[in-house]
Amino acid sequence: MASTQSRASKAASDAELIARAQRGDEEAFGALFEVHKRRVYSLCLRMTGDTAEAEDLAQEAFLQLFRKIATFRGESAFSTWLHRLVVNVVLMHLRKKGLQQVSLDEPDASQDEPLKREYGDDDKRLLHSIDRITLSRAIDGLPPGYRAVLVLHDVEGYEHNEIAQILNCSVGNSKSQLHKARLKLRELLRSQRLPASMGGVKPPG
Amino acid sequence: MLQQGGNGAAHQATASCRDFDVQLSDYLEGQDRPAVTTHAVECEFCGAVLADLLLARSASAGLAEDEPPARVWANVRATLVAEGLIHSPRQRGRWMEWLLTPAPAAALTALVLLSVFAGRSLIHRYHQTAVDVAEIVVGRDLMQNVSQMEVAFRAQSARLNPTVERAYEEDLASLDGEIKECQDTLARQPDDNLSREYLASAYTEKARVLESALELGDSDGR
Amino acid sequence: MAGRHPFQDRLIACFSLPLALLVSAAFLPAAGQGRVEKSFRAIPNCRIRISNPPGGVIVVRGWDKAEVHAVCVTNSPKVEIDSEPTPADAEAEKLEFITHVLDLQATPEEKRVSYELDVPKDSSLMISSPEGSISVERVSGDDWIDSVNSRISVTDGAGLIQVRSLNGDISLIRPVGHIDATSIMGNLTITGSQSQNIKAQTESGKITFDGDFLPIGDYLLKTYAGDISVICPSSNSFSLEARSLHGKLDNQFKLRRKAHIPYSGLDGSASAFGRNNRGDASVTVKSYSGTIHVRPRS
Repeated sequence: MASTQSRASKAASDAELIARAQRGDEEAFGALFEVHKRRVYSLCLRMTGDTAEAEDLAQEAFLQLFRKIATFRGESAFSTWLHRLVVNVVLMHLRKKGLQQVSLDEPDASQDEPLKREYGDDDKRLLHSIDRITLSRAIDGLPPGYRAVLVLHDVEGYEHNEIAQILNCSVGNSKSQLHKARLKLRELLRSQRLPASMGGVKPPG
Repeated sequence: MLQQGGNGAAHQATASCRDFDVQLSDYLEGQDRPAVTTHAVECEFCGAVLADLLLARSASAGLAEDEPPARVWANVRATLVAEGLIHSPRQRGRWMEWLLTPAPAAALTALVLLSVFAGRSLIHRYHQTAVDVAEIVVGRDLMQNVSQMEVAFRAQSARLNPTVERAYEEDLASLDGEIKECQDTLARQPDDNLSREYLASAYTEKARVLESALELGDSDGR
Repeated sequence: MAGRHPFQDRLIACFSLPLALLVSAAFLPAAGQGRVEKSFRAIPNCRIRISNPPGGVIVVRGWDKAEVHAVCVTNSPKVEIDSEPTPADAEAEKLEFITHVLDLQATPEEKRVSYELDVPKDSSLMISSPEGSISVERVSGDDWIDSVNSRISVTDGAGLIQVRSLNGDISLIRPVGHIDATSIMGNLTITGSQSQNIKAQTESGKITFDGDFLPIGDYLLKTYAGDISVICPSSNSFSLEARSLHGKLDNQFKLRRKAHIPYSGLDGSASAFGRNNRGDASVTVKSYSGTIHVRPRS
């Protein structure tokens, strides 16, 4: 109940700020920036893994937002609209950089060929905990295509049908790439694993 | 199925492990896959995989957000002001306060009266206002940069192929025409947002054209 | 041959050899021209750069082979072409073709170089050539094309297409990828578009868009003085914001009023705001003094 009320009041305050921003009110622009800056910047940072690029992209995203704010129709949540805009800005940037991306069009073979694994003694030890820095570093170490799907799904909470639209792939590919990304992330986390005594997130259950 | 030896000999994946692998993705997507949970209890290696993936997923969802540096807003704000998309209440406030005080109000009245009888003064003020508005919309730095680049372009335009040089000259003339037209409109209607937008855009385009001309002048294929 | 007068036979015999030589000469480099033909093994999404400061004709076509085949024709020995694959000893991930002028006193015609390339269809291209023409077909990687006077044509482009030709016309046929096209005086023509994201801007040229507005797409068509013509199916779902400050606007869609009208702060501009069908795509069409036409495809 409390979270519904706070979402409703946030939506109402966004609506007021948007209306004022549409009239060119500087304070309204500033307030909108304050409310959304962390989410926008974090998304840019996680998808690029580079603070300088994330700054530039966050700037570009806010500039596009404020230039287009007059066209916001109010039919979807403002944060959804903003989020979509930020993802587009980042993806355009990644494409311009010509990064070798994992093709998201490859056929989904994950159901056909089970992974062949051999286990050493080390592989039965759990991670136990993952601190924020280790996780961020591991996400940064993912190939760009894996990173994009994992950030959009596991960090930002997009559904596969939304990711498929954003990344122009099929839902099946989004799912298979996410699974591969998670396995790769696990590999990276294990290769830079810190002792459990460092604390961090406890395993569920 | 090979068992884990005390000396660290490898554990070979079994048919159950392979089933686990095949169904793991669906399980993590929320589908009911008893084979995954059952096998995770029986097999410590697959159990470790499942536990790690669940932990990583949970940690990813809970990743805290980062704070951007202050310069991000400073840069955004400066660009929005240059494009005329925001109006600082402080500027308006200063002008309004100034006009409401008696002495400036009287001076303004006298100036208007003088201008009615001296046509030249009126035209001079018109141009001055146009330049002031351009500076507010575009920013003095960009205007000065464009001016300097234009000087550099004229100094080296002879190095360009004549048809290319002519093309640049035409473009610059066209953009100067736009700039003048926007400035004239803004002198009459300072709140005209579309003119502000096009004025800022014309200056930006002019900077890009000059930059392209200077780069081409430098790279003659040597 | 039966039925021909012997004199005709002699006439044909007299002229056929010189004619054959003349025709075949058209395919040989003229005096002073040089022709270089090279092939490189390449990865499927090779990055290819052509830097051609003197200008010329550039044609790039995508094909299914993992190979770049290049034919470069120079107009005189006063220019030279460098072609550089990276890595040098394996399938190229990057290939550069750079025109170098050896004699700065050469005339513009002597400096001109033409390129004809067949490239893996997933390649990405960076082309810089101030004059002449640039044509790209069936390349689905990203294209960055920069020119001053060249006519530019991109057909069946599927990647990011960023094109700039200050005075040359730009034609984009059946694009699927994101488009960012800019000119100052050139016309921009976009036909058969299935692109989701278009930014097309020219100052005094015209913009013609004939394509589809896709549901989650974003479209900006902007001129200073040039006219803008937009044609799309009446079944498209888009939200339109169209304004011309000093020009006319002719909108033939019956738009439904939107809940939020953008702030204009201006009286007297010709404008149209509203939704066609659900209003899914966002379409902004604006001009300072050009005329805007928006109509359904008949």
